[in-house]
Amino acid sequence: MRSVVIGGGHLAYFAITALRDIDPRGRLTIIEFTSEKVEMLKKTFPFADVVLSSIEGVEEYISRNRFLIDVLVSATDSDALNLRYAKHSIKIDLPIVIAILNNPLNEPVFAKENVRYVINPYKTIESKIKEIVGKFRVNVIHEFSKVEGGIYAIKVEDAKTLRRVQSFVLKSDTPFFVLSTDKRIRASSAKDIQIGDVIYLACHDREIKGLLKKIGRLES
Amino acid sequence: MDVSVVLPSKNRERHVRRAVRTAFRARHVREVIVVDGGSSDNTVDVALKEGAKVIIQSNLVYPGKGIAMRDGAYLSSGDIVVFVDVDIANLTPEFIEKLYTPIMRGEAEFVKGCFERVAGRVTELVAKPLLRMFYPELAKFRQPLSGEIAGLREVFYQVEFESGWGVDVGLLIDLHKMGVRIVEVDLGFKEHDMKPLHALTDMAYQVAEAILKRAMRDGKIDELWASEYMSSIGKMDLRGAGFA
Amino acid sequence: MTPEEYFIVRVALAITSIALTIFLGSKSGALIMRNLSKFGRSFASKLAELVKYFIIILGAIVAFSILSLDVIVLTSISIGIFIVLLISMRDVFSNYAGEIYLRVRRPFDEGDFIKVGRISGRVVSINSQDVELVSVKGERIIIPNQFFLKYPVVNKSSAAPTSIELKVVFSGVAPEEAEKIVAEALSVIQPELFEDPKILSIITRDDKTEVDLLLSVANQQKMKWLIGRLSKELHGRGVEVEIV
Repeated sequence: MRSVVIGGGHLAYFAITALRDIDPRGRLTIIEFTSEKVEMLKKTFPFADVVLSSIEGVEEYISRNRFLIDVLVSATDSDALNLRYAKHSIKIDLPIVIAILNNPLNEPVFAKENVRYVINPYKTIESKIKEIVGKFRVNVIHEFSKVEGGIYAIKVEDAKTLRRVQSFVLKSDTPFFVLSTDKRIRASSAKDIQIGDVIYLACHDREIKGLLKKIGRLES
Repeated sequence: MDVSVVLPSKNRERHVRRAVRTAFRARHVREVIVVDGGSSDNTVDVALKEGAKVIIQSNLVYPGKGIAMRDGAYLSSGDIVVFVDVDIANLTPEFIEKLYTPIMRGEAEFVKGCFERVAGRVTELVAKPLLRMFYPELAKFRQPLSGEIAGLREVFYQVEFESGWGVDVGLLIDLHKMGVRIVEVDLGFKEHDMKPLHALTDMAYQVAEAILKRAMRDGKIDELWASEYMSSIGKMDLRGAGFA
Repeated sequence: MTPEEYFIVRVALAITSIALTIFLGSKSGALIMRNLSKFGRSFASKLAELVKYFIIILGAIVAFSILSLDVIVLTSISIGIFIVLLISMRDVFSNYAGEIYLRVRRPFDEGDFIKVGRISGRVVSINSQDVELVSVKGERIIIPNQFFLKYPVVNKSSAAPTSIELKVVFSGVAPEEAEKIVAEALSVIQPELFEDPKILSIITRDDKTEVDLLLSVANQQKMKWLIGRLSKELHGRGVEVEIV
């Protein structure tokens, strides 16, 4: 597949290595704005075509190659630029358009502008800290990109939560596994869930919201 | 030609409604962009309700005015971009029109606004002396640190924006070096919240840093002299200099 | 039994009939909610209400019949009213049918970017009467569900790769040679494909060798270019081929 990454900073670095991993034989083009960075990128990523462009030239490049580009990742150090390039790419019907955020506060800004795939590289900070410290009530472990749902961790702290969670799992047939207090990872039946366990559920947003309301933990 | 007005702002919910409405009332303005620096008040909601485009600046650092200006320029789609401080109490549409008119007339590609105000301390004590030393051709500007500027959008895409307070003087020097035609227009009187003296140390430092960095880049001074000068700036005691 | 006693019994039976159908209606509604919630809670609740009241109306008709009220007249009037409602609210029912189609067939979900006719935008919500979109310009668009029963919808968010089967027909070339030539040509276009190409089959028929290929791309606009490129590679190897 043919991928284009706009930007040459640390966000772009991770995008480039991921795309290379997905398709080692694919065509990868990196677009940067300064000749010094272009030279550096050519050395760091010898498998990629590195292109020097002006800010406005990027949109022309994308438009010219719209029949060939499969994936476009906008990963510059400016959310304003990333938004601009993502919107342009969506307008010309590129199949997969991804923007990587510099500032996570811009996530709703991108969503409002119909950029479907937005990566917030800082999202794991909160979930990791909760996981490490362990004093959480609900933890969003992962959000799916193509489905409105994800994997959620709920700590079963009391009998009421236990009952609700068991009932939810039985009624909705949601896949789950349990991290028990003795640090075992179990995928067993609902009746084996105990107080103190952390249950990891994979389900849609609307389902988890229903459960959280019932156990009085409707958080973001 | 159409105009984009960019309003960098942070925690300015009291001012942003008026600023956005005023900007939209200026002729040829196609969009108003508020670049928010991570406000904890309702600046963003108020701006959105008034029809402004809003984006949060890419890096939440203090001061991040330069980053905000850069992001505003990148997001804009007008032929001319006008930058205005959001907390100017006497902001009028004519303020904005005066800034872009020389560009529309083909007289310049970049315009600095100047205004009557209570004396700019960093301007008089830091910016002007350094400009006179290293860029005497720019010493004629009455307000080299003015944040009220306008320029062709394509011109802003060819320069780097300093992240902090040095952004305005940095743009002035860089665009001058590029051969861009620059004029200064009189905007009248500016009613503006003034920073207390102790808050000006960082500003003075960053302005000096922006000028000296460019002077070094352009071969006008050597690095050793510059770092000695910068440390001497840090030790300057501005108390008792006659300012409030 | 006296006529009065007979009347009391009939009233009791009528009340029992209505009570039973209310009970059955509620239970049916709950069953529908439980089993169809996966298609959307609001859709399931509306269907549950419809079924519940239908059962209750049946119970009411039975009760009227027990009480020897003129069921035929009542039924005719009800059917008449129902037909009038159907005709006057046919759009409403069409929209409702559209919602059933959207829930069961799921051509798109909330959050997907779709194009229907000349309208495109991101799906905000799928409701019983309409679908709400937000366009790229931020405009709110409401599309009645019946629209989706009539017009094709393109779901641009599915981004599933498109696969196409091609047949390359060689004249007077042995199968092993044909396979080798095709593999070489495919290796040239492989970097542009979303997934590795597959040779599905090689068949010899009347001095012609047919090689069936499967190519996969994410960018559907690329298919024509790819076929042209493959054609060029094959012809460049000095063989007479036809791509079907």
